[in-house]
Amino acid sequence: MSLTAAERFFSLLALLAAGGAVSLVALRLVPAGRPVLDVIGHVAPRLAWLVTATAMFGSLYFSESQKFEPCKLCWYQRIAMFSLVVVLLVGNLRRDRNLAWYAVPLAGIGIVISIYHYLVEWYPQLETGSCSLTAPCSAVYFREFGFISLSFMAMCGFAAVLALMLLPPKEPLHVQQAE
Amino acid sequence: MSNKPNRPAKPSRPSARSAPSSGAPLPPAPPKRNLLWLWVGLGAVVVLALGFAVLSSGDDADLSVGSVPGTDQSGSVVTTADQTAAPDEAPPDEAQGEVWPVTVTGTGTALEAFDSEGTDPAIGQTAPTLSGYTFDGSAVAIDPSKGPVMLVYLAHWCPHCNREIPELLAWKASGAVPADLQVVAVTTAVDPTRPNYPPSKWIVDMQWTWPVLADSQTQDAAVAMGLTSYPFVVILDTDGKVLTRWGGEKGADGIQQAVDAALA
Repeated sequence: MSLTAAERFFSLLALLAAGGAVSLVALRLVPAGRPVLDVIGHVAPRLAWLVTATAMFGSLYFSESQKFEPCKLCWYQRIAMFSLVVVLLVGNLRRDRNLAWYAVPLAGIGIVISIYHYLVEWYPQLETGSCSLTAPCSAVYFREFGFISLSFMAMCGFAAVLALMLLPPKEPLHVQQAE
Repeated sequence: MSNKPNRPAKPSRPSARSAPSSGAPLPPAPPKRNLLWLWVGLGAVVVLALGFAVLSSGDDADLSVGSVPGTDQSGSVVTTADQTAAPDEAPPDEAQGEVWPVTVTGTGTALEAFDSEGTDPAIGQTAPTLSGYTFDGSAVAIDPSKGPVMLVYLAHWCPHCNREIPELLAWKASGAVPADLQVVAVTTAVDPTRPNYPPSKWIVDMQWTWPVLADSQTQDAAVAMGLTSYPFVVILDTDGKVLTRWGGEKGADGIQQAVDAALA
């Protein structure tokens, strides 16, 4: 797959994650959304892990395969996202009902950094007055559809994790069915 | 307080094998809520996104390297310390490139890397002389003997460079540019994977009107002047000595003040 195709593919996934996050929030606001939330609630931790694992894969693809050098703010977001992959994996395996207590703070920190990074990309004067030689935070590698950059993708991922992990916890379906 | 997660006791699954022997009837099966549709739907969306991305994306841009007869065809830099800079005046037909070989000459070595803190040790030093090509293969030689030189290093993907160019043009439009000052842009850090590539089109789109020297793939023109950030400016006097260097945005007023102070 070419680089431009990969950029578009991951951008579409980011839009999917963002759409999912917005939909979950919207569904919480209307009574009719409760049945849907009940269903999604059963798989929310797994979906959240899927989101973070995909984000980590995309991040590593761009840095290791395409040699996009991560900037300082990218690294901070990576710390949050990569940690989430492990935390959510272990939490899912242990069926930890307290998983949100670990995942939400990490995703919350991550989304704050992502928002700031996205703002720096559009308003570079927020950071410094120049681009560093290696990886300035204000410089983007691409803006798919005119607005989707890597920090935007991370922001979508963190938003999806937050929306999923803030759903009322439910047992995984197979456990509930067995009971 | 236990560190154990609040995990439900492992359910004892009804076993089809054990049921007949015990004689007990099987418990009624709970209503099955199959979420297969959710995973299939998610997978379908991902596959659709992948297909759309592959089909709708174009080819990746490759770095266009200009080469002239007698230079390394790979576009790597030809650096000489003891020959007079004299790139071919007649570029080959259809010569085109985003990076071109740069010749660095002169008695001085590369200037020390610029540090905005403290006094710049390069001030007063003789800078190396640069010569090379612009995007269409025409020769460009930086010759301070004709008047002070202001080299403006720009990276096409750098947002600060993109913000500073209009300021430089506004400074020019104000009429405050000294008549004998030779302003030359040096497009450097060319990266085909980053926005605004190719720089030859970008510099036109930015309405840059001064001459342009295309730096080499290994950024020899930038290294020669001790560049440490973008944008980066070096002003040389008519002896080729460094009057000032700065990195980052200054704005039209700041540029005028810096130039006036340097040439005073």
